[in-house]
Amino acid sequence: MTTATLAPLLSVSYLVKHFDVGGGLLRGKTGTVKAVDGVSFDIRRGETFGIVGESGCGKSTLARTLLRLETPNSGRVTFEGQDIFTPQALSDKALRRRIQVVFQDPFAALSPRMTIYDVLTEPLKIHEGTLDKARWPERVRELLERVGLRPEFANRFPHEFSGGQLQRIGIARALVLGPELIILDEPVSALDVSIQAQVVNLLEEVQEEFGVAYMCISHDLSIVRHISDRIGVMYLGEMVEMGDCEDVYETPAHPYTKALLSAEPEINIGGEKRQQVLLKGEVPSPVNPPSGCRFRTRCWKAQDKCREVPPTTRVGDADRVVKCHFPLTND
Amino acid sequence: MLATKTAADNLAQAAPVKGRSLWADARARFFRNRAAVSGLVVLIAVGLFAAIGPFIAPWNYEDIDWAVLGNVRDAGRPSLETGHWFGTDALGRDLFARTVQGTQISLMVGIVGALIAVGVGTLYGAVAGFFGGRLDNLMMRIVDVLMSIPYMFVLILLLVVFGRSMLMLFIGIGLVSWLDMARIARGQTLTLRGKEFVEAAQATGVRPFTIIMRHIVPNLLGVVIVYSTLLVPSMIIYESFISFLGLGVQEPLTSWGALINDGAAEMNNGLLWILGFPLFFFVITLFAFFFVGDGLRDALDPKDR
Repeated sequence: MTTATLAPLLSVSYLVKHFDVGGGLLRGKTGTVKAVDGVSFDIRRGETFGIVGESGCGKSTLARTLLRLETPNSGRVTFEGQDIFTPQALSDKALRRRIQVVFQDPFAALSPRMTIYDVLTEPLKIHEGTLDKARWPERVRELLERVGLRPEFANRFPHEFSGGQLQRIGIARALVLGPELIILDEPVSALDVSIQAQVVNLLEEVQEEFGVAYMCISHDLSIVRHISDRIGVMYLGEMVEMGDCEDVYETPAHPYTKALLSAEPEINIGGEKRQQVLLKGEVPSPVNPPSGCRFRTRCWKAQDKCREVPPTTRVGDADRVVKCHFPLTND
Repeated sequence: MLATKTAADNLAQAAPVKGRSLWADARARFFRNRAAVSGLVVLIAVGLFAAIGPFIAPWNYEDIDWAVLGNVRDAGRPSLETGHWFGTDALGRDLFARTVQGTQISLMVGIVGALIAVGVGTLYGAVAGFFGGRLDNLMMRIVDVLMSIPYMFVLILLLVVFGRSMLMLFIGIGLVSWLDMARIARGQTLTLRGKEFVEAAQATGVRPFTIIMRHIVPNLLGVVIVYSTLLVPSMIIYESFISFLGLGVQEPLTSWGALINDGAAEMNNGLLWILGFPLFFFVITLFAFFFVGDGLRDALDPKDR
């Protein structure tokens, strides 16, 4: 992993994305899902920023918004200082070239009617002038070799490959245009465990070689820990804790982080058993989140203050950010 | 596009491994299906009959054989000697030539109707499904409104008001044929739109119309082709029904429906061949289309590989 320089590549501040529930021709709107609610973070050039959280906490919506597949309700996202949601930026294709994506389900990520060659050259077709047409076959061959596939696979169709191979092709597609940030949306969770390690290693090699930054979304805590430099923990549309990966894993400050990390299975032979934190109840509905601190309904440290006052974001040492009235590190 | 193909070919020369497209797979599966292949053979035969029939028929479809008129029951029988291979109709016109002519019209109506359905319906449905929201609502409500009008009534009204002509018939059939196709295409598009390859294209900056043409439509084609082979016979049946009512093509032109109508009128007089020959072609063609449609569906969609 490369060391991150200080200037942020991508900067997200107070990003809000709500979805209306109900609505339609005759029915009225019945509520609002607060999928992403005031999330702020930075991604530095060449680093890996991991985002963990349960299903439904807004991880994927965040990714889709950064890819500009969704328009945020409010907030600001800048890429190298340039706001990516201004009308000019939205029509600017060059910006799309610099942020790419690798999806979770490799079987759905490639159009079944296109050869791998067509899949890999489509981005080049859209972004004319990136690469001379005569050099496309060479580029495709390079990329396929880079991701560990035989170049002659270019003439095959997606249904002829295994999940792991397809995911490698997905990574190759993300690399075609030479992006600076790749958003990895659960990049390995659809793969066999044995293949997961290979794909994770490939992602790390690619990062080292091209200096690309990753934003890695996953619910697999061990993989996020393995590849991330920094991580953010999301709960019900909010970023509850953020900081250096090892710090957060070793000394979680937010009660939710502690509960989440203790749910990770561990191999422990003969050693001391880790203390398990079991949470009560279910994740509240994002349509109607709890007042004050959103985690208070399941938190063992909740007090009256948590119900009345939403916690503010505190910045601690080494860019550690915690959104809690009673962080565990103060004990 | 051409440049890409050659580029891909260059790569292929480096190694002989050639990918089998879904289409190639489907073709192999289709040709293993005996019913479908025999359906295809019948269709080709009927097509050839319509195409080369006029050149081998000894009689013209509109000329009356005066030697037969007045004695159709005996002189107008199917026979090789008189040159009336299928016999003559009640007016002494050669039934072989008329069946050839009717086949041409009926096939044309069926195919034009299906083409309009494929062209307009697929694009309309794909656009509505892809953009969604208000546009989708508006477009599909228009389809609902058009569907709720009894098409036969509209068709008859059109033919009565604007006069009976081939053009009116095509317009009338074109108006109704694409509605179902639009719904089917929209439904399929809705499932495709959520697929990640479409989102990947959007994230790369592919324009919406290009996404529809490059990613949505090729993946719709399987369903569309199957549905359109089933649509051709239903178009033929519409036309036959209209002609049966006496509102379709104008004399001396004819179609299967009109011929069957003539034949039905002569049934009581013992001139069964006038009904028999057109009916035979009508029935085998419909059967063949249904078999081919079934075969295509099985070939293109084996559990949606």
